[in-house]
Amino acid sequence: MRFVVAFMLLVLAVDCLVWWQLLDNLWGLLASGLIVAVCVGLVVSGKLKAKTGQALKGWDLGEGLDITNPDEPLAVERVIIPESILSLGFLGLGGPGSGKSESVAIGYMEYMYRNQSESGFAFFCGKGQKDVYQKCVAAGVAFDYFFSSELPHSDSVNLMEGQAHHVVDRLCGLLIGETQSTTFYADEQRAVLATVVPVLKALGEPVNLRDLYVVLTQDHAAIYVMRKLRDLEYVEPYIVEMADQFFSQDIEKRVSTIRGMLNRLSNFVLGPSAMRLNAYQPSISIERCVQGGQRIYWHFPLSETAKSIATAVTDMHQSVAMMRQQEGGDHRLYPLMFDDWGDFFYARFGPMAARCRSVSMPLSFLFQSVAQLESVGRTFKDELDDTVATKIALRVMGDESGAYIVKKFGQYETLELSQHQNPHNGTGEGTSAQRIDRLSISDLKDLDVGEAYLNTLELHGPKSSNRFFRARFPLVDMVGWESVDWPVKDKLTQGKGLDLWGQYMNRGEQEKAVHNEVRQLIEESA
Amino acid sequence: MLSWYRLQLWVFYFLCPLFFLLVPGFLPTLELKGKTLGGGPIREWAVNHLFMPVLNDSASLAFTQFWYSTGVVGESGVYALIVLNVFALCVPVFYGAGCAQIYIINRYKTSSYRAQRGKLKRSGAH
Repeated sequence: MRFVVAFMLLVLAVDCLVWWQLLDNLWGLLASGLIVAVCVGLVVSGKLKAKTGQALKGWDLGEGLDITNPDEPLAVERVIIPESILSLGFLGLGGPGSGKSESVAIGYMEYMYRNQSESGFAFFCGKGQKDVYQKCVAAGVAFDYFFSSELPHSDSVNLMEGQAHHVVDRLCGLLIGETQSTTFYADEQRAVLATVVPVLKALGEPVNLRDLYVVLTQDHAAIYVMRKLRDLEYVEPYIVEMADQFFSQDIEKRVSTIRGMLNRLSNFVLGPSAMRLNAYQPSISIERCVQGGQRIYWHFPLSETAKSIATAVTDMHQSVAMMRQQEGGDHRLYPLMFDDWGDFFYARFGPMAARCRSVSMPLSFLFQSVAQLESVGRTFKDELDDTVATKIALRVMGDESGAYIVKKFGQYETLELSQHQNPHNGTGEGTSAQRIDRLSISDLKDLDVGEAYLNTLELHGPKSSNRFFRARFPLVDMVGWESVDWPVKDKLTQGKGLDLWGQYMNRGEQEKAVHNEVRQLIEESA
Repeated sequence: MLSWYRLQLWVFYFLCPLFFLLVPGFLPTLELKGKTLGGGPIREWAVNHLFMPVLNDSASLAFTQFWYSTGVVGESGVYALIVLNVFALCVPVFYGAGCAQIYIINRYKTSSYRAQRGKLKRSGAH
């Protein structure tokens, strides 16, 4: 239509020229020039509009091949994963050295950092390799916080952060084991947590898991807490009553039913990272980071301790998601990205993922193998497949993973028309349809580093189309990454809080401090 | 699927009409049995019926002077201009007709293929 209008305008311009020639009227020339200018503007603006209209807003991967119909692959200038689809998370699968971390994970973080700077994100690194962090930083991605399960000079958290019922919910999953024979102990332990955690939280002082451990194992600490609780006027009477009932039991009997829970709790109160997990005033407040759009690098080199801490930390994100759900309304995007997280999954991960996804905290995963997905459970694998809108298949060498990807990329239908001419039967037409896999396992083995097949959605107003591409994830500039070192935080202090651990588990230090104080007073008075 | 370029509809709807409108005015002028035939009378008819009525007095006077002083080339130029204007008025109609044709043909083909595909699927002959 644009060209029709342009043609009509051009004819009008010629008419104006004739007018100028015929009557020697300069207005004719002027009008002609004006019309030509309008005409050129119309065509150029139309072209520009067409160009920008095609370009969706999102993660631009550059040139690629549209293989929505593999029989007629189309070279496209820009393969774009739309912003709205990225906010649903993605699933990447690729063998070692296929470019998962460098091209996809770092590329995505760099995209988020540059283009959606108001949104924070959390990167969970299950590899623990230093170069991933170094390359992230060299690529220009500045993290606000860095927490490591192993490195002593990283940031701190408080695993008991949040509202009492959220903490109870988290700790029930984290500390209570499942048994096939009886649920008696699990129920008992659940009841203990539901009683004691609100008591500690009701004291109005910052508390941590060490306080919980002490109050459960030390009679004196329990008496101290009860005395403190009774002095407070604003505490609900039923909390005092329930705590009284629980702490009035014999200590040995009390501990015997929660022995398993205490064993699990000891993972978080003992050991080199215990201090950073139990800071009263932690540097990382997950709720604050999510709401304030801050970026956190979670570094979890695989170990049993790292698995426990990672579970606790991901559960804390679920608590924030619960709060967001209760608040309602629109929320700031806060993607959670899990790289090589296969060994860190736990039974409650599925519901946690669903909850986070529902409140603009989409989860994206990068796996080495489909077996890592299956290890969580078949339900989780299917759930992930159903909820993640973008699938990225990098180079995989295993047939099992390859077959999974081939299945996910589905089949396409070919329709062939044939015409035959027969001197006896005359002319006729025939149609044949065939369903063929869009990809083959060998296609996946042939991919270069960073190259991938993608399946994503494109939204055009109310309409959406399922698109398939082959593209290479651009390698972001990471020059000088070798010189980047782990971040070193200032000397950590536990901060000020209830500090039952200091009072009842660290008596030597306490007594020493009292002695010093007394000696100082005597010296001063003398 | 059919489109303006694939079906070369633009030739049918734009080039052909323009060609057939232009050609008569460019034919040589012949005298046959006392009658003048060919391009000359056609050009004159176009000028008298399509061009002069839209000109004002001063413009028609200036044009009449030009018309009598010019040759075949000048006459043909004026005729081309008239044809271009007439054609420009017809272009939206041709465009609409082309779009309608593309839509109808595509609609027919799509439903025909869909029916064939459905039949194949039902018979299980993949």
